[in-house]
Amino acid sequence: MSRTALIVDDSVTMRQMVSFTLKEAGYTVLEGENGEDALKKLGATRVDIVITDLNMPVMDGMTLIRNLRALPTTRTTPVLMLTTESQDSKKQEGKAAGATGWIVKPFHPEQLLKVLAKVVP
Amino acid sequence: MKIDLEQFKPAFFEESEEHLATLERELMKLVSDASDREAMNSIFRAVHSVKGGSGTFGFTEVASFTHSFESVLDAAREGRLPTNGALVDLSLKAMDVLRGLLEAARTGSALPEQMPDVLRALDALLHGDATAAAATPTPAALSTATKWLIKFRPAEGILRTGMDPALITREFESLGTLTRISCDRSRIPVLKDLDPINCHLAWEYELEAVSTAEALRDVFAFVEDGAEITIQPLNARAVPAVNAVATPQRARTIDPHAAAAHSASSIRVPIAKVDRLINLVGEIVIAQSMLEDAVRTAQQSTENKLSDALTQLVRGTRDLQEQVMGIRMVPLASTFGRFPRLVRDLSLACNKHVRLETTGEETELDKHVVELIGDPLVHLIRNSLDHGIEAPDERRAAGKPEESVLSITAETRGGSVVIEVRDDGRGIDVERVRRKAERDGLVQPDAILSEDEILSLVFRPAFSTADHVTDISGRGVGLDVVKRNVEALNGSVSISTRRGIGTTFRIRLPLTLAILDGLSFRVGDQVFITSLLSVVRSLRPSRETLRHILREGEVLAIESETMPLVRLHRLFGIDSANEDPVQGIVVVVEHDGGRLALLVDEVLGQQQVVVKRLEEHWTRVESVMGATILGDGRVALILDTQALARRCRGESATAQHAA
Repeated sequence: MSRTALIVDDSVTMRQMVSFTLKEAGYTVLEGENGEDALKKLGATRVDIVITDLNMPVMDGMTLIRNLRALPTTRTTPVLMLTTESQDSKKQEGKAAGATGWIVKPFHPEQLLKVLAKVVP
Repeated sequence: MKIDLEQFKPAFFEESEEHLATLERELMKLVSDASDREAMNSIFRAVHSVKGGSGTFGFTEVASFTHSFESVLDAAREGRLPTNGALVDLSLKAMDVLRGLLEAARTGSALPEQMPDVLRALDALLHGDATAAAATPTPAALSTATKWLIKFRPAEGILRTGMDPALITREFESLGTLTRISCDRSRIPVLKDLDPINCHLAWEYELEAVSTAEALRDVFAFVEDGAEITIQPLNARAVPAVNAVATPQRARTIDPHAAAAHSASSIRVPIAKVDRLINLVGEIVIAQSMLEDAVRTAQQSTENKLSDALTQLVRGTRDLQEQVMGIRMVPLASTFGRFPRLVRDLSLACNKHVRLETTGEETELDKHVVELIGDPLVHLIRNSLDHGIEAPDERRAAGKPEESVLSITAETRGGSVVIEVRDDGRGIDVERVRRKAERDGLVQPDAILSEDEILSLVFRPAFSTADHVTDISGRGVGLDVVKRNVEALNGSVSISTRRGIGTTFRIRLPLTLAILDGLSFRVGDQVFITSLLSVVRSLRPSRETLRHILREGEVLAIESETMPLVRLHRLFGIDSANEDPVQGIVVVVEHDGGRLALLVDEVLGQQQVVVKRLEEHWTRVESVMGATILGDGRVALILDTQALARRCRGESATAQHAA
C-alpha cells in the first residue's frame, strides 16, 4: 500500500522538490503552504510522515508540530522538521514540541530518503 | 536512487524573483518605519527561502551569501542588532548583490563586484570587528572496529515524538549483520500503571559492521535525548580511520538555452483561472457531443438541433479563448514593486523630496508586456525626477509644497491598460519645445501644429539627443526609447502638461500581445494587417501630392508633411496589384514619430486578429511581425511598421550612395 506524506513549506520550490522526491519513492503526497493550511489539508486523513519547514507565515512549524501531537490521528506520526539552522537550539525546541527528527537544509534528495528510512515504519 | 533536480531550477529562479520583490517592498517599509516587525519577518523569510533553495541546487555562492545576510537579519529580528538606517541601507545593498548572484547562478555571468565589500560589512555588523571564526568541526576521534556491542534504552516518551524504536533495529540491519538482539522487558510496569504510549523496553545489539562509534552514534541522532546509549567495540583494531566520503560538490551547470528561455518558461497561475478553463472545456465537450448526436440522427429534422449546438460551441470557444489568454495575464505588481527603491535612490541623488504614490498594481497584463514595460516606466520616472520635479527651494519659491508627488497609476480601460506617470513638477514649456524643434529643422517655421503635435516632438530621436534639452523644458532625454519600446508592445504613449502644475505621461497598452486590433487591407490577391493603433488615416492621393525625391525615393506630401511611399506589392512581389498610387489607397501609419504611406488596393476594415509568430513555424521575416488566419481560412501577414520604416531609411540611404 502506498504511503502518504504531508509536506509543509511556504516555498513552492521546496515543496516541489520534496514532493517530487517522495513521489519517486512511491509516496502519495499532500502539500500545505503553512501550518494552518497543512492542518486543513490533513483533516482526518492519516499520513505516514509529516515533513515541515519551521519558518512559515500564518502558522510556523513549531506550532504545527504541537498541534499534530495533540491530534489523535497524528499523535505518534513521525514528523521531520526542515531547518537551515544547524545549531542545537532549534532542534531542541523542535524535539520538545514533539518532532521526530530534522533535516538540515540544504539537502539532496538522497539525503532526504535516508532520513525518511530512519523514521518511517 | 539518483534524482535529478535540474527541472526545478527554473521554478527556483522564478520564486527567487518573487522573494527579491518581497525584499524590496518590505525593506521600503522598514525605511519608513524601522520598527515594523512584520516587515522584518517577511524579509527574513524571503532571504531564508532563497538560502534553502540555493543550497539544494548547489548554488554555493548564493547559499553562503544568503547565510551571512540571513544571520544579520535574524540578529535584527531578535533585537541583537538595532534595526536602524545603517542596517536597512546595508540590506538594500545586500539585496542588490543577491540579485546579481542569482543572475550569475542562472546565466553564468560574473559575480557581482560589490559582493566582497557587502559580505565584509555584513560580517562586521554581526561579529563586531572581530573576525568571524568559522566553526570548523573537529574530527572526532575515530576508532574503528568490526564487531560492536550496543545498548539502547530509549526515553520513555519516544513514541510521543513519532519515533518507533523498532526502526533502530532496521537501521542497524542496513549497516551490517546483527548477530544478536535481546530485549529487556524488566521495567514494564504492572498493567494498572501501564500507559501504552510510553516505552519501557531496552535493547542490546551485537552488530558486525566495519564502522566507527561516531557513525553508529548517528543512528541514534533523533532519539538520543533522554535515552541511555552505549556503544562498545568488541574487537578494536588499529584500522586506519575511514572517513565518510563527503558528498562531492555539485558542479554548476549552465544551460544557455534554459537561461534564455527563463523569462517565458513558466507562469504561476491562480487555481481559479485553471478551474474556469476546465469548466469551459467541459462545456465545449458537451456542445461537441450535441453536434455528434445531431449529425448521427441527421435523417430527422436536425436544423434546430445543429444550430443550437453550434451556438453553444461558438460561445464556449469564445469564452475558452478569453480564459486561455487570461492565463498569461499577471498583475503589474512585480514591476511596480521596483519603483519605491528607485524613487528613494533617485530623490536622494538629486536632493529632491519626492513621495511616490502607486495605484492599480493589481491590474493584469500579458506576462510578456509586464516584463517589458518596466524599463520604459523606469525611464519616465527617472525623467520626472531629473527634470520635471523642481528642487525644494524652487518649489518653495513657486508656492508649492517642498515635497513633490510622483504618482503612477494603472487601470484597465476597455481592451487596453493605461499606465500614467504623473508629476507635480514644472511642466513642459510648449513654446520652447517648438522653437527648439524649428532650430533643429524638425518642423517648418510656418507649420501649423497643435499643442499635442508639438509635445509629441519630444519623442523624436533627434530631439532627445540634443545637448541642451534640459535647458528648454527639462524633458526629452531618451524619450524616443520609451516610445519605441512601448510601440514594440503595440502600445502608444502620449503627454499632457500644464506649466507650473505638472506633466503626465500616458502609456496605453493592449491587454495581450496575442490578440491585435488590426486594420486589414488588400494588395492584389493578398490581405495584410497592421496594428490599428499605428494607423493615422487612409486616403486616395492626388497626382500632385506624389513626388519623387532623389534622396528619399517616392514620397507623398500630405498637409505639409512628406512621407515615404511604401509599395507593398513590390516589397512582397505581388503581381496582381494596382501599381498606380492615384488608383489605389494609401494607409498612413505612424512609427517612431515619423510616418509612412502604405500603398494598398483596398481597405477591408478593422478586426481583432490572433497573432501567430512566423518564427514559431517557419522563420523570421523582415517587416512582418506575424500572421493570422482569416475567417475564410486564408493567411494574412501582419506588418511591422517599425521594421518597414527602418527598411525605408536603409533603402533611401542606399539610393543616396548610388546617386
